[in-house]
Amino acid sequence: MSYDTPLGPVPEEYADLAALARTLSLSDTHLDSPPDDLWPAIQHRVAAGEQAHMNRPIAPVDTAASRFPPRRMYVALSAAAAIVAALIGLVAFASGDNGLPGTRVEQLALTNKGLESAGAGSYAKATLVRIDNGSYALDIDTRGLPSVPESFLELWIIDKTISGMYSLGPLHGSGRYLLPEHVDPVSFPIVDVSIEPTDGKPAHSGKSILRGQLAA
Amino acid sequence: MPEAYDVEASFVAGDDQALRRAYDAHGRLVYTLCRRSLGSDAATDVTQEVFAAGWFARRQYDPSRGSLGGWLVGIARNKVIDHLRAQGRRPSTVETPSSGLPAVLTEAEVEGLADRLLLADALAQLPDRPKRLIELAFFEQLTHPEIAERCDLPIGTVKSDIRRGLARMRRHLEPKP
Repeated sequence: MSYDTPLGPVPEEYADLAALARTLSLSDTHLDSPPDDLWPAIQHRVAAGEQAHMNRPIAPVDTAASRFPPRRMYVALSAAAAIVAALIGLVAFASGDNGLPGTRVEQLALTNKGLESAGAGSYAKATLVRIDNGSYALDIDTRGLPSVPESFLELWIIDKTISGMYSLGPLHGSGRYLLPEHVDPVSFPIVDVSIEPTDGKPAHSGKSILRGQLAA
Repeated sequence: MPEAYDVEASFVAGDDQALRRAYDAHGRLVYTLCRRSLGSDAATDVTQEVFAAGWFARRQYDPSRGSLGGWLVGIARNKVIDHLRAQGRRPSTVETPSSGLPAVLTEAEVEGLADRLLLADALAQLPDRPKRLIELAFFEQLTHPEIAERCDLPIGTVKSDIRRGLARMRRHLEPKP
């Protein structure tokens, strides 16, 4: 027992609290009041977010650094919706071959089901290929991608727990998009296309227009 | 007596009032961490992000693992660090002494500040008696008999008050999102 040790009558398992307490300064005990317009701003942000989150399987809400490890995202996921969307999509597409080198691993459909209405007329086929150097690429075949003012489209791979993601860069249309070396696509099975405002923020906007999930 | 409104359970459930209650209870704490780390302008924005992010991730909050205030501060700490990293990637800006910005904190300093603010907040939220007893133990490092004598309380009361108070404080500092 550590009662009545030099730490005073503080049980040993709370010694860290006692030690931390002795680092407190007076300013730590004084909390600032936020400006009055902060609460309305939160309400506004949450209302806007709920509108956007209504039918969205994932909801990335992290800011700037989410593309850089460690990635922290606080999100909700309906993986089932993504899987259903992928299955529906798979039926709709026949396999194709674009003649680029690599071994085809799997093909999946990216659909707009339950996502941002800006992408309502869009769909895409994604083919995961293993290329000669051992890394992976997605061959994307797109139809009807929207053009949104002050915005661009970005391609992502996202993990099942939505705790991490990689950008594969701006999506310009059909073509090959390389995964970063040493990134295992099985660990990032959700393929996602988002609308990104040109605001210089590298994080996912939360506005997805197409999505599908690798079966692996 | 009507049952106390359980902010934490309501928050997880997505109750209408819960976000407002959570903001009333923890807005100052979150804002203070942001302001002291990032300055007033960014603090307003990041505090908004924290509460919006917390709200959308509310199902991930587990009251059995710790307090809502501690969980929100955990989100705030991450967002502040993200913000500092993003600033670090920007081209350097001209420092103006009048801008009111604090010196740039390191990540470790943000962590330390978050822990201290949480601890002070945890202490402030205790009922008066255990708060007083724990302050005597922490800051004056009195022994149980000394505290008992100083406060004119039975030593058993001193011991149990301190234990329970410390457990409540621990809960406030525990959860990490």
